[in-house]
Amino acid sequence: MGPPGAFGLLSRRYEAQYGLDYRMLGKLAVTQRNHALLNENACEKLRVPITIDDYMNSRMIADPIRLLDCVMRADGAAGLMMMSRKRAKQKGLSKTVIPIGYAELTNFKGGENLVDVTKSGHEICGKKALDAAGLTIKDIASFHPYDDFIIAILLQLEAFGFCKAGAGVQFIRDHDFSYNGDLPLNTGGGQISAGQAACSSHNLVEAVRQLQGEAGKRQVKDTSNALVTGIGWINYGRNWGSSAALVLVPE
Amino acid sequence: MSKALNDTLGVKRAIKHFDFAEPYWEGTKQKKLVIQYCKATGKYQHFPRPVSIFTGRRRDIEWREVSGKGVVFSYTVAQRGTPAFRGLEPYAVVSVTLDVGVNFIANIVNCTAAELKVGMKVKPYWHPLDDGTHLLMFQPDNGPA
Repeated sequence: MGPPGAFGLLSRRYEAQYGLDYRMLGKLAVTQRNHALLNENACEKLRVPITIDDYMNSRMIADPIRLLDCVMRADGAAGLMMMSRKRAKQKGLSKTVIPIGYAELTNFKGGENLVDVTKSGHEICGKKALDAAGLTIKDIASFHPYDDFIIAILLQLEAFGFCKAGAGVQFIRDHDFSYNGDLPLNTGGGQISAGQAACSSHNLVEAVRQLQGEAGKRQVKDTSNALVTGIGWINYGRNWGSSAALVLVPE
Repeated sequence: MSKALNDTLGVKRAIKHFDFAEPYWEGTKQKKLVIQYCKATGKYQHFPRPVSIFTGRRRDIEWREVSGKGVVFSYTVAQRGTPAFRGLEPYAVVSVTLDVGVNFIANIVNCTAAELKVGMKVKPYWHPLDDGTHLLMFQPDNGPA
């Protein structure tokens, strides 16, 4: 069935439980694409503007998953230098970013035989990471969720508590996720519009860049923190098997 | 739109059997759906595992025949299949909540795109494989119970 089929099952179930205005997924796709247009490191092939209609009319892969829901294979690389504060100082590095909250959860509800597939381990590990950082979800200045399919962003908005379960579509309608909007989201284009070159490192590198104030034309105003997430695989009849959350702040 | 869906019956299936799942495959030879039941908690589980997902113990597992009837929990219609299924699009994959409370993912046959809905009743369709086992698929259940 492949990953599009797995996310097709998740999407259709979400739609049956809560209703799903696919144009709002299109809004997320367009926002991310607009960010890729401002990101010189994004995959060149993807740096073409799209509209919500383009999203809606893109061909079905695993109905209701469309082409523009899917992350594209891409070559590339990403890297981060990690070191102690002391070493950073010795090296004369002034723009450093500190992880202040991290949590992950594997095998969410693994001991249950029938689960609500619209829910994931992010609802637990998101809270843990925020607690460790001494923040609430309302404090988050920019959000960099793992995006292999657009629906994963909607599910994470709910799981992290930006809004209640089932209220994700309305939340998307009510907010501006542009780099200069009220909740900047995947400001480098996300994996879907920048390219999934080194798995979730794209979203992490982008968050670090933003907090260093080096995001150029797409620089967010509020660099007080950033929330980055990770997702691992889809289990049989379940949501993703691994969920991760990381809160970063500038030094 | 009553667009036909392809049934994928012609696809060559190469299915790996795990030792601990052998009672499942044995059951399919007689077109019986036999799944794991945890004696300690009174709950079913699917897919087969070496231990109970509820207790983590091997000795709590027994195998029970179930009806295979259920309702569609979710579905997706593949328009771009994985390589073995290429050329057979569109075909549907369904996740079915069996009447014993587990979800089972399979293809669906004898069903149009217009009929296919979350909540629709389905029953087993047993597709014979070369090794004498059968592959469980689903079909609409329109008849009396």
